[in-house]
Amino acid sequence: MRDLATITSKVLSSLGETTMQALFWELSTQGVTTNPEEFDIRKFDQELKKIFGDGANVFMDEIYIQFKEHVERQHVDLKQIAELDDDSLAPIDKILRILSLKVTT
Amino acid sequence: MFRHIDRNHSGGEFGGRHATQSNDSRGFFTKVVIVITTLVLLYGLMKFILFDDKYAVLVFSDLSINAAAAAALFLASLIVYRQKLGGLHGKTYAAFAAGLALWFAAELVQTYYEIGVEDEVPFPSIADALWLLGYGPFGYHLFVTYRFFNRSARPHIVVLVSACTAAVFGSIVPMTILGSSLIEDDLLALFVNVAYPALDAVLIVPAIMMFSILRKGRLGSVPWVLLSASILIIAVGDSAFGYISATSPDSEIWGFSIFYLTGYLCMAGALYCHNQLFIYNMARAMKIWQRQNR
Repeated sequence: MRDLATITSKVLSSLGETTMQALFWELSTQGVTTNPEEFDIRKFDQELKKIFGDGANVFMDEIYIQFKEHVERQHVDLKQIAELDDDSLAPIDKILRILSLKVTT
Repeated sequence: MFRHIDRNHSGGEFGGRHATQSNDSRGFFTKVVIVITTLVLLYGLMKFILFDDKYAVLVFSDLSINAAAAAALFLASLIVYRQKLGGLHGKTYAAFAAGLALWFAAELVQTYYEIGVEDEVPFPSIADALWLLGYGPFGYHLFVTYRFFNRSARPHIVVLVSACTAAVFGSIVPMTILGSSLIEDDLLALFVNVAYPALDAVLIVPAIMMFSILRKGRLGSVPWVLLSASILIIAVGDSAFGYISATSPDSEIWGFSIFYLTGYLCMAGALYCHNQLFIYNMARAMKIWQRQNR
């Protein structure tokens, strides 16, 4: 979760540092913790959609791409990761699948 | 953006249970819309009162538009100062501020011609060059932001918005050219008349697309409603003004300044909302947290 939280911060910072801080504050007021140990990507996804509407998918897509690359560099079987690239899945579902892979491998 | 118009045209740590900025964002939006509407109504009322004195109307219009443009430029500069140049917003809002600086300079030049020297305003003038140059930074702001978010755009909406814009402005431009008495007299003037609505059309597509992408977002939609509205209002003013001034270049054209005033006020509103919602302010965050957690 720590890695995912770090990647999420990095992706949001693409808007600018002060914007990222404003977003994290807004998210924290909605119950999304910024503590890496307790970071809940599902809650983050829900609340980000409330802030940006469909625009939230851009961030979630980028988080998925970076998280997948990060996991690939580490230890998960590349074959299993490749199977996740299903365009019909929402980015949050793909991220959750990677998280489940990490647990089982 | 043309102008001016009322003239003879010869020329994380604070997460509380209920402390939400989102709730505030609706309040902001409502307040901003009320302020803009009130200012526009007051402007209309003052013009009605001054109606018989054309010079007083001209001075009042010019000064009001300058004040609205100055307010928008001040807010844009404040955003650049607070968020610096990093990230998408840093770059795009710096461009927006540059565009507003050019348009504000154009307003000052126009006011100088109209009030300062009380001379016949040349057309095209230096002010027109500044207004047309301003489209560059505004275009950068809109297209770069849209490029960032365009993965979320729905293809049928892109097609619909582009087709509608092309249909509306694609008919205005030929109508202006065909009905123009400037074709034989002054091709440059005709080109400038046509350039404004054509460039407005180019800006409208990314502005409306951004609104369509962010419209369901409580925070994201707020500045974009106002920014899209400002561009649409200015485009309507430019198109109507361009058509009338091209087809009847010697006529007196009155009443268009309200479009530009409203356009600048909507821009200022959009910038105010961005400043409040998308730039972290620790003092404000603390205040809201304290208020909500008493």
